[in-house]
Amino acid sequence: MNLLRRLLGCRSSAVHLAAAAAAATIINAFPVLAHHGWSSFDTRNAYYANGTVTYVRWGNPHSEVHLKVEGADLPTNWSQRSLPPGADQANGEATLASARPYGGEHDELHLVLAGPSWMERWGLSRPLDVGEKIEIVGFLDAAGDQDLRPVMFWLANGQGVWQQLTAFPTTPEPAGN
Amino acid sequence: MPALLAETFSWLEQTRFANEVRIVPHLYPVLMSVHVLGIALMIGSAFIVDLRLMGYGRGTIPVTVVARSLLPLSRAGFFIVLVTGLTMFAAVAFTVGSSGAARWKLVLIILAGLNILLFHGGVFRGVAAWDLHAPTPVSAKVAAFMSMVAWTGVIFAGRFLAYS
Repeated sequence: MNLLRRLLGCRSSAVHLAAAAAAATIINAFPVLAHHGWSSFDTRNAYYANGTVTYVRWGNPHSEVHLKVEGADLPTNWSQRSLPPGADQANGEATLASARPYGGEHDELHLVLAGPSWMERWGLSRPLDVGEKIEIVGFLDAAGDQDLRPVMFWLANGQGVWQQLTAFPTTPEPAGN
Repeated sequence: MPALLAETFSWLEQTRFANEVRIVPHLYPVLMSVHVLGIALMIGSAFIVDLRLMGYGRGTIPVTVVARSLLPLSRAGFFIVLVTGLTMFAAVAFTVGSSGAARWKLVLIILAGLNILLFHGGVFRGVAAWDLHAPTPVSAKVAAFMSMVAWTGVIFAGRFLAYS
């Protein structure tokens, strides 16, 4: 009995080791998407883009929208643009001042947006629609892929919608002229 | 992520069911809360059994009493966690499926399951010999330790789904 127990003990330890090794090998580099907080976004440089919404997945825990980039030059009246309702003034102004044209390789950006109840609190009580034109300013995923998290965005009618709830890991740097 | 899996997850999160889970007000945070309660029930009772196997309460509470009282609660907790977890997964299948933590979570759950099978099919059959006063065999202690490590890992991986 004791021997059997020992044998079983050994067998289970060996299986544990093998499984742990398997787990370690399976883990690999994966396209990384992070959704909560700003820690995985590079908040030093803000980027501006405008374009057409091509895909919408609205709802909790957060919405995802694809934006076909059609323009990236800052509008001429950019410095006069006011912050959307509910904006944090310091972070909002720092983001606007840091905005530079999105010059990345992607024709389409994947936007990570707040969930519906925060969206409603910030003045947008309906889902975005495919085909709708919007302008965005926000931060790119630090891993350098297609994800951009807007700090704020504007609808075609000019309505601004704030998006930031938690602190930025680093202060946005002003864009050089 | 393999193309077939990616397509399946994309399809899943575009189903009507997944859309309802995202859209119905307060449903998602309610599911999250129930998920946490399920985790408390499942892991709370499992860890007490694990602690007894590691020697805590030896001479006071028989292993069989602890196991028979708490493991059914743990299984009920697992059922709650499974139902709420799969429901939330449907809503965000593609995004969560492509998180680096998803594989960790799945592998650790499988590991924890194997550990349960090995324990119950193996050393636990001889529990009569170490029910109350005798020290538990090393392999039972190892199984208890593996259980605690694996489920702790599952919790961490689960939380990291949203951050990695």
